[in-house]
Amino acid sequence: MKPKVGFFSFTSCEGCQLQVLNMEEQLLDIAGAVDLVTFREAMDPIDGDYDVAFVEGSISRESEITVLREIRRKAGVLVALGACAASGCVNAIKNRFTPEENLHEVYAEGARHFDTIDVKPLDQVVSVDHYLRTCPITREEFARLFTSLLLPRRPYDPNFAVCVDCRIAENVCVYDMDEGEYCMGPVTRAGCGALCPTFESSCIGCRGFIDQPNFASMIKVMEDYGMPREDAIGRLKMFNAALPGAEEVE
Amino acid sequence: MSTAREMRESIYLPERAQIVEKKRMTDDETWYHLRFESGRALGHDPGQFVEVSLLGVGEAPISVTSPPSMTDGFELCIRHVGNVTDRLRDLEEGDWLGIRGPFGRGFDIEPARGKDVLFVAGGLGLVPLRSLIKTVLENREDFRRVILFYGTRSPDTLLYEEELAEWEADPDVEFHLTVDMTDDTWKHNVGVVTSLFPRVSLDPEETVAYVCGPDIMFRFVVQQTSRLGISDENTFLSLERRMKCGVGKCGHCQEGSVYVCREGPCFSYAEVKAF
Amino acid sequence: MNATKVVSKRAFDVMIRALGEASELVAPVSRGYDRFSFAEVEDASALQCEGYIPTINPPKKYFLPAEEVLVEFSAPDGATLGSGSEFRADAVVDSPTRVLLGVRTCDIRAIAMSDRAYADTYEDDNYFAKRERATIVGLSCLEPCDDHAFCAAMGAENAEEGYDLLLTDWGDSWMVSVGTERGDEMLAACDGVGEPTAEDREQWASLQSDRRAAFAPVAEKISVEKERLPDLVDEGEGSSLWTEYGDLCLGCGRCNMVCPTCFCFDVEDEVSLDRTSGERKRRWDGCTLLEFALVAGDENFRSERKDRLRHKLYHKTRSTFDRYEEIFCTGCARCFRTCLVDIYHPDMYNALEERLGGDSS
Repeated sequence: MKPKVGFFSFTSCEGCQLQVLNMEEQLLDIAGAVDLVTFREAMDPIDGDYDVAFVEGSISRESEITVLREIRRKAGVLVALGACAASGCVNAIKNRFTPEENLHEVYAEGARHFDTIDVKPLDQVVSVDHYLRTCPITREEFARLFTSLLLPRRPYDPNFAVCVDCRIAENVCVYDMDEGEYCMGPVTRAGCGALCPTFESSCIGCRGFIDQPNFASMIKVMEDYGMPREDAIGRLKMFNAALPGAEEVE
Repeated sequence: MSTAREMRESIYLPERAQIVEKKRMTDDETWYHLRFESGRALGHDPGQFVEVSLLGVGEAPISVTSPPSMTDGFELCIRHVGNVTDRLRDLEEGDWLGIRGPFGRGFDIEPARGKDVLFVAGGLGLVPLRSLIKTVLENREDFRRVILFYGTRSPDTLLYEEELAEWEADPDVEFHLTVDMTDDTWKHNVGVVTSLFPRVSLDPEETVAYVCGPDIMFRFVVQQTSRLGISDENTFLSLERRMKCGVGKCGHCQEGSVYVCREGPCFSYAEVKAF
Repeated sequence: MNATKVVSKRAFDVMIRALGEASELVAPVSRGYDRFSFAEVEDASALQCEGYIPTINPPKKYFLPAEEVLVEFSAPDGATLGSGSEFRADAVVDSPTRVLLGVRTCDIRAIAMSDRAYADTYEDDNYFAKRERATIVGLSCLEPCDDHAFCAAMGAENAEEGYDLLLTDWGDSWMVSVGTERGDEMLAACDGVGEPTAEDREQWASLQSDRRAAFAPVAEKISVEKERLPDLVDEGEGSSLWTEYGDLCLGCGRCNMVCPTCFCFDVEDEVSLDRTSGERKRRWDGCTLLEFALVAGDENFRSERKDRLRHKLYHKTRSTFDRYEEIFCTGCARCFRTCLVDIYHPDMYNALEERLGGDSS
């Protein structure tokens, strides 16, 4: 029997679901291998149990917590689909300010109608089985995880730094270029093939931190290359303010 | 420019083997009888391991549990704790696996000839040790006393229960069993495996010990064997490390100056101390 | 010194171009920003690569590619992989014919080291299929390539073997040391190969003496003889140095990746979306990475950065010395150039020696 699959979306740009729809020629293979029950981006929601729930977006309202718990109850396997779901992503920048500051900054006078909480990645609310971490997810990582779930096997989810992929690609390190790039590859999880550094841009940390990140040394590196300490800290928290450990970044 | 893709032998190519028989041993462990498609014997030494492949899923190092005297295939006892071993739980008789090996260095049996043999197995440590125990028992006249200590967490985690009963009944085997915790129906010892040492009197000069179990158990067992006066050279261990390639290349199993997969996994305690 | 000949650069280039018709020619190529990579070239002119410091990745990538398929596999019709069904598996062994031009002596030494490791007990077919078809044209360094290299402290500023030809710049010509029969054949294919004249020999002697003088300070970068390093790292096991460097280290693995004598790898299976075919690949891995020594059941034998850093140095010194009577470090300093927190092996050795000296007095 084909596994039942649902896609769900919380606070996000929904770009990760779009990436799945962008898979074009592979999309039929994917659709053919599973029974697609819910696809928030493509169909209306349908109730029922799911073998796999792909959940996009971070949690930023109390009502989302209730819905996420319901999805968790109905799902055999729950996958965090993309950086918002996996680590909070840029949504979590708001955690660095008070609710009043946020409301005023974003909505000015209409603010009182919006009841929001600190942004959380999914695993701060329910247990998450697997993660697709990039912002937005890459089609390759989706296909790879999808195949792993069908086999099934433990998915490939590297816990080493982007620098490894970047050395394997034999890029010139952006720090060696000394052109104002402040790469966070050394503390960011690989798995994107060092996409940004390969195009001579800094890694901005969208895939979340590796385990045992050395924040002190990372900040020191950015400072040594000329970035003010406060900016370096802000940079580290840009995608990852909601991650456990982010409070250590000071 | 020329690029040739050669058809040549590769140490990384798994050979096809079929599951002839499968038996669940505990909730977490399953025993398999495998046979190479080619019909060849594995040709291993007790204590050696093979790399088991489920192509597409991965590969895992597994100790061989059958004795070398078994030529109709070979046996593995697999604990389902990892990516590959989890999946093996679902495989059935008639299914296919890939096998590379045997690899590494097994237990050195020579020092034990004409002497007393002490086996100390903790948990899954019985798996590689069983290959050696059976080999010793098949050549019983080459050895003096055979003493076997086996300890597990609880009675429902005992492996090879039928064979344990045979060894217990064998007048030529001094068999001692212990579990960490149990209920009232248990007739054997309760406690960690080292609590069995006071039950036997050993002649340390004439005893060779083979120890297999988790690292933490080693530490306590070798304290006992050392205290009793069994020399480090006559105490043998099997180490568990991340033996990924099995052939001393990938580096994951390095410990001190050795690649456990190549120089081990079986070592004398004297060698382990030198790491 | 091996048999030495003089050959004009022009004639040498003609010979290399001819070789290039049936082989891939690779040489160091500038990537800008004072960085270099080995890459495919058309002729031997790359041997003149200006200001060439050790390439970002060492030539090991030609024998142990950063990613390499080891096995291809598939399931029969109607079956999928991972199900226990019958399967087909074939070894994949690529073996291109290559000429490596302009390999520095440090890298020549490193290749000899990886040869030993990859032949040890089990010959690695994927490695040797490429290695055996590779021709190595070395290039002598007349002076240290930069302020960081500590090659002379590791005895790698020269190479007596491990190359087919070793070139030394001789104006319009190359002074060529021949290391193998293959090298002999290559020279035989060049026009106008000459014996060094008496004047050449005199100049050669003076060049060697200049080289010795230039490399003498490099040898001083490590305060102890290299033969002392294994014991030093052993004796320093409990030193606070590891904690200090462990606190500094990013644990990013860059040093492992670029090291010419790091040859560890990880293996992963990749499967097609329809689950009927796949590949088993190996990929560079490094002992400074968190999960390197993690086993099934989640026990990690080196769970802290300081443990992993110490293991790396231990392996480069004690382990390889015990196994091969050689220290598997060439002093190329790639690890330092790539390190964002400036961890420099000579500093660590010197600090260890100083602290141990302090302890015993």
